[in-house]
Amino acid sequence: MNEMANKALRLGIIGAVAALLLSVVNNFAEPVIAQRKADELNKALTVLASGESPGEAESHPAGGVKKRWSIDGNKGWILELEGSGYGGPLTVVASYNTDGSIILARLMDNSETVGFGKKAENPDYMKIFIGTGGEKPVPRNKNDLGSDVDTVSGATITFTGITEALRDGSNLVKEWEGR
Amino acid sequence: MTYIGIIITYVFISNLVLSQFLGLCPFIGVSKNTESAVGMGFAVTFVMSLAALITWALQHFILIPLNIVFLQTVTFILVIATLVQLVEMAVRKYSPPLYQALGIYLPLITTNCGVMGIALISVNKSYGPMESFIAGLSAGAGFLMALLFMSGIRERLDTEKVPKFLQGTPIAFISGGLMALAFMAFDHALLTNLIGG
Amino acid sequence: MMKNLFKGILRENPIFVLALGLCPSLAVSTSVNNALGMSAATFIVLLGSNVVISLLRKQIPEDIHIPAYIVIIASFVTLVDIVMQAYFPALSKSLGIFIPLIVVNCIILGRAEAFASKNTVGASAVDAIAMGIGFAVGLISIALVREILGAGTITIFPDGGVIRIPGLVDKPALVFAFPAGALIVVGFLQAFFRWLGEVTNK
Repeated sequence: MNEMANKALRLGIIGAVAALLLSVVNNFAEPVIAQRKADELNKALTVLASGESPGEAESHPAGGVKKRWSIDGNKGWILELEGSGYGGPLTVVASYNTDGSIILARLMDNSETVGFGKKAENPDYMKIFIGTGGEKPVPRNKNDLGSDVDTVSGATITFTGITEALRDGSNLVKEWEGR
Repeated sequence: MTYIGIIITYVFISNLVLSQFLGLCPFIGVSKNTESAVGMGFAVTFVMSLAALITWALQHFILIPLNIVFLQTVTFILVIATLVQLVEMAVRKYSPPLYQALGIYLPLITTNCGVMGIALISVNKSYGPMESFIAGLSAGAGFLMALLFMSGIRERLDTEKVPKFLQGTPIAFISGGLMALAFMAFDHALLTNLIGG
Repeated sequence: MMKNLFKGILRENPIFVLALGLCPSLAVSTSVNNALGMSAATFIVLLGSNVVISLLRKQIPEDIHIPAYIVIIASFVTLVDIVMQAYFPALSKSLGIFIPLIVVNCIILGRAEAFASKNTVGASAVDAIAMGIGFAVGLISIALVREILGAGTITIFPDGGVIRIPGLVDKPALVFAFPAGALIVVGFLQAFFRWLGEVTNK
């Protein structure tokens, strides 16, 4: 029994040292990670507002929307949208004109598959959505894309997740603008 | 996702071995004959379903409330290792015949990437407890199926003439690859058509 | 010592000869830069845990080897994960859940049990370096073949460090980007390394 206690103690010490060490490192790294995420979002916002500056963030203005910013001079809205992809939840930020058409979009946090769904992080991926949502509807599935379908080859679930989030966003903008 | 959806996903579409490369070591190592493949497959299924459920509880009742999610990797792998030990002891005590059949495979399961993999995937996809359990169970069933097919192929390969440098594991990998190729027929479009998303 | 290093890279290459450590790594072998990142992360964990385990080898009784080693390895993995998230965000994003999965990479626990638990710190460090380099050589060759054939590119840095291979980049053999292609590539590379081992042995 004494031997058992000795072994348990040794294991406990190893575990405690490990946990302590990790929490110290985590304490250092956590603010860095948070800061990086904030910077990334700000950078994306500056691009999305295309020259204009976004207003104050407003949390949870509607279901599926984490935050929204009004673009200066009521030129439109920037939305941080929640969608669901292949690897779990994903975040898309997109800017909209007041008629609900998409100005620009970016895929942010996601757990999509490396080499497949992750490709949507490439800004070029989102080109197929630009301008849709107003007169022209946001593509619902890959068949709506015509010759652009190669851009989104593979990763159907990722595509669907993104397009659904963007469509919801577009509909909300239309609702807010009374169109 | 519905339970049926989860089952189809992890048995066929995202089969751990054939589309995620998780659990490759036993897939190649324990597939030399059908009998051990079945033993290993059932042992893994058992541990996977329990592990997915227990790690869900750990994540939601301990790691998140205490704000120590950074210890996730350490605690998950410890839970899995302990679970494997407990299962081994329980099986030895209460079911000697089962122990005879599964015993030697149990210790190997700790380092089966699939167990840790399905635990992490369930947490990442924010599954609930029942969904996690079903995901673990179906991932295990998918593993069992892949292992069983592979052992069938390898038993036949034994009697075939294989080029010298391809003998053993290389030809096993190539056969596995061809099998994965066949499994590419199962994709998410199939799921959408079957159960409407 | 050079001989030991060489052993890890060719004759006992963990990936090709021992077929170890493939599970969590193959999934990131779709591009060379991801393979490089994964190799670096695995290398650090392997070296760190081998050194710590051999330091503590007299303090850890035989029957608690596995749980103790697992805790040590998992701590190094978490350390790499946190540091990567903070300082190499792009890499951390693209490797995703495969970083925590390094903990179940069979090579690491395998080397801990087979080597570091019985040998001095220096020897364990050399062993880790040899195995780490061997692992990197293995994973990067897989990624090279897969990316060239499957995408027609070689990505060293995602921004600006992409080599495009004319002819292949427009019509790549997509199958190599899929899991099925990866397993086939591993099989053939394994046979190739065996052949190489035999030729260089003569």
